Amino acid sequence: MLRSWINKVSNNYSTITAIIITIIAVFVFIYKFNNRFISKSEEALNSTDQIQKEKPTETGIASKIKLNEMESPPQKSMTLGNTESELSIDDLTVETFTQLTEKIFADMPLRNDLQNLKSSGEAHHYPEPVIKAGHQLGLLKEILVKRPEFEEQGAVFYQKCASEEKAITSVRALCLTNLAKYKATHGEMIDMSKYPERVVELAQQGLNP
Amino acid sequence: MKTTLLVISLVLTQSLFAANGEIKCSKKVASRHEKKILRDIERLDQLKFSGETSAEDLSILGVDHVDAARMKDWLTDRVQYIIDDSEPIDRLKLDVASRYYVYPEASVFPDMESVASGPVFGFQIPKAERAVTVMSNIGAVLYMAGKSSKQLLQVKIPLSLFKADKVLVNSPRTGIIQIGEGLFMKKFMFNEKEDDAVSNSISRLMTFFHEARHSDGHGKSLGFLHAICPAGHDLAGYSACDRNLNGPYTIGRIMAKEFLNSCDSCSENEKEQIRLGMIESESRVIRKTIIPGKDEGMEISMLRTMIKSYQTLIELTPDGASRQEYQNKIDSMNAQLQNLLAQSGKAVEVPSKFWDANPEGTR
Repeated sequence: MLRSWINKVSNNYSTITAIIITIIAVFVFIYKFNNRFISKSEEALNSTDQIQKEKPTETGIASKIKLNEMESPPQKSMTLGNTESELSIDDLTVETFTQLTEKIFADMPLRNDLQNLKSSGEAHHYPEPVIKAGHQLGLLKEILVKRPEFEEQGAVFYQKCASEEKAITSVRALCLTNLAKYKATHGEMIDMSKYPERVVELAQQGLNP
Repeated sequence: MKTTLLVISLVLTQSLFAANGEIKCSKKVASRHEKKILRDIERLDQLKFSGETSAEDLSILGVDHVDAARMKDWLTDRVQYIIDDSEPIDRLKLDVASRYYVYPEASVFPDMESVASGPVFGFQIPKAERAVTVMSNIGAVLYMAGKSSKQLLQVKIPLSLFKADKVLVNSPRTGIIQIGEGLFMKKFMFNEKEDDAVSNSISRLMTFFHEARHSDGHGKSLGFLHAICPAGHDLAGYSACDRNLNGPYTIGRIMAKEFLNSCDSCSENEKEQIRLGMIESESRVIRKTIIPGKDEGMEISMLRTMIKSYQTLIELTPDGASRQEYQNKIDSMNAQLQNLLAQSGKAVEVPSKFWDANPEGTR
């Protein structure tokens, strides 16, 4: 009986091959699926871990006003002043907007922060202080586009930022770009000789994208 | 039954080994990262490139115009494999494919500006703490290592359980790029709220295009090595600048500009961050270098020695406050030096040039 079964199997050699291939494919599929499941679990663990590890750093010019957390400015809402309430861009008043610009200026990353990077590799791409400044200036820009009535206060901030010698050069240049745009819309010119040559050169890049 | 089984196996294997386009990921790259990278590249199609790229920028990129297809080709010409930072260079499966290999321009190497803290291709050289890896061009590093030892290297990149590519490192265009968690960290994103935002893809693509440029060059320009940022620069002492006008930071600036003008779905907030990225990239380009003239005098010579001493001190000092104090002294002495040089009229100002981007080797 065994012999006749073997004969049958031998006659159907291609079926056996197909079965073997299927078994291998199923095995590999399970292995891969398992890996993907593990990597998703790792992702969840990593994000929890990151939340626990990350703590805000003090990098501001003079953190005189103790505002609520602004480390990661949200896109559409923000926490301002000493109040615990959340304000949307629509709720901002001239006072709260001015308060926000002062907070941003006080918390602005500085050139010193770039000299204290954890490793030289961090300098290679955009270092964290530059990214942080980008988040701050991005938020400000978003507000000014939605609430153009704050432009004057915005220009005051941009002037302070562009003139701040301790500020990161690219950040100063972007502030000068925005200041120049504001002045141009009001038919005014900026005295570029007040700013370092490199800041002016870089601001030109921002003006002519 | 036979046919059914074959169809099932075919479908399963196809789902596992489906081609990833032209860029292949090592099996050690987490699938969530692989998916993001491949989607980022696909997203180039969603951008509406203006077609208003300046003639100089087109010449730097070496293309006749900028559109999604051209830029995908540009990238995939220079990036073929992505490996994870859990596969450091000393743990890669390297073989010598040929001893005494005759490299083109065998005796010509790029000038490597020496400073202990300097990553040349974005390597992580730990100082006080190890930082997260964002991205490094390992292919160019391996090519240069092979060239300097006169051996042709071959690296085995595992792509799946049963598949590995043996890659001959016979050109900097081998295009092996190493990525790390830093590329995907929330705090580095333009849009921290929406992980899937187009601006976050743009942020990663800007890094990719920068790294891809390291796959270019030959002889002196091989790998478009970074330069040490000069005294007075925000990143003085770090190997994070370019002493040419068409290196990785210039590519970063050009692409940031293209993305800024082509991203319809980006908010003003995100666009402002891309704009800062563009300016930051440009700030890394050293446009002129002041070199000393002959017989410059005792005072200038002393200042140079003092500056070098403080630079060494910075490299040896882990304390951030002291480093800053030394940097301030360097800045002040450097300003003094520039004045003296200007007065003496002996310094020579050398403008940076465009380097030849044609790749070395056979790929």
